Amino acid sequence: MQMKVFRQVSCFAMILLLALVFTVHTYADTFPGQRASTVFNSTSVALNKSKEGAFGATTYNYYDIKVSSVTLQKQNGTKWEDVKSLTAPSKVAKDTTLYTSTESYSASISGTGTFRLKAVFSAGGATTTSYSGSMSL
Amino acid sequence: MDSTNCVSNGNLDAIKCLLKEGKVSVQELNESVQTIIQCELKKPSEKIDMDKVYALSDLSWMLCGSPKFETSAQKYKVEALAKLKKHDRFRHWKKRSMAAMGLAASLIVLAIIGNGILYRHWLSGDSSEDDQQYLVGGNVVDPGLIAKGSAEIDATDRDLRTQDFQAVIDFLGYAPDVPQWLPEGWHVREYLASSHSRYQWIMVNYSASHSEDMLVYQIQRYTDADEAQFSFEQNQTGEKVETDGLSIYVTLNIEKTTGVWIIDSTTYNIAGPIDTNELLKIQRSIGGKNANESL
Repeated sequence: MQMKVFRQVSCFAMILLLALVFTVHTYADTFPGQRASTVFNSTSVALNKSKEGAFGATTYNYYDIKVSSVTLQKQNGTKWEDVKSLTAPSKVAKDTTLYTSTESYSASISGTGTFRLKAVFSAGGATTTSYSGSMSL
Repeated sequence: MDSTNCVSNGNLDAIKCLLKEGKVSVQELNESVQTIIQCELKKPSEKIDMDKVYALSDLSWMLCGSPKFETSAQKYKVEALAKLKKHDRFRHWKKRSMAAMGLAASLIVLAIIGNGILYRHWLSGDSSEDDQQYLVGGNVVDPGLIAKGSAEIDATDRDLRTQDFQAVIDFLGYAPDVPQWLPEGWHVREYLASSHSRYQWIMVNYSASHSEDMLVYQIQRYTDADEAQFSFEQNQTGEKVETDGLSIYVTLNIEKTTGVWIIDSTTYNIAGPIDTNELLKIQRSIGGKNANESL
């Protein structure tokens, strides 16, 4: 009886320890996609713990590329809800195929929860929407 | 005695055979079993094969009910030894549990001391739900006990556009791996690079007189793969092609063939008006893993 209890406690302690030690984050959130694009090849949006957004895009041809809007979204259950519009980076990359920029949102993002950025990129009259991975703040 | 040999050898089939053929009765067999048990119990305690005693006792019990002992001392001896064995098992389990807990404790110490050892990040890709994008995102195994270090690539935000590969090397501080083979007619139009503390993007644009569209090759890397999130446009979910130990995701965006592959925390992409075979040939000329080592 004593051995059985000890074994159960040991197993439970092991599971608890492993769960505490290894936190596996996977970012396999569902992203609303858009249509295939004749203009954009790839886009990237990132949000880090310092609340700094990073934006990137590549195109198949030379265009003026910019981020036209950024929206903060918060996770509510399985859904993402718009919280507020954020300032889009002012950078406009001229006649290029590569766009990168960063923008600090430390003053704009408050509270706790799981957030992500939604960014709309514009180039050659086309737009494409991209989302960052989720970030717990 | 035949039956004794059968039992001592653990040959149950032989016992069954003897019983069936009537060469030995159940009672005779039980007596033989009892003899072996008693012989075993007469040995010094440390030499007694308790597994054998248990097995024979069980057999005896099955044959004629509870096993018989010559003296009550023998019975107590069996019971005492059984308790000892149980105690031994408990000690064994205790030892194993302590070892497991020690291992867990070691992992915690490792997590605290060697965050770099346990903290692993990598990228993986999959199609979006509606198949319209190929999404590459960061995955992290994080001990979660201490804050992540910021292994920065560069402290400043810099951009480069040039047709000179040496200028790219000077800008990055190393030579990025670029295709060594291109389909006929294609040549470098421009190198573009962007280096920031959080990311590096390197892009090579190729043009050809026979094509209005460009062929593009890019390397994308976030310092912290945790925050990396790339979306590649596509018509529908493509296919994964295994080549030289790498899994190349090949798809179409409108009429352009796109190939995406990931090595650790770096994403590589080729896209343009070429076919899959040409794309894979370009990819193979890059050097796969070596491309990542230079980053």
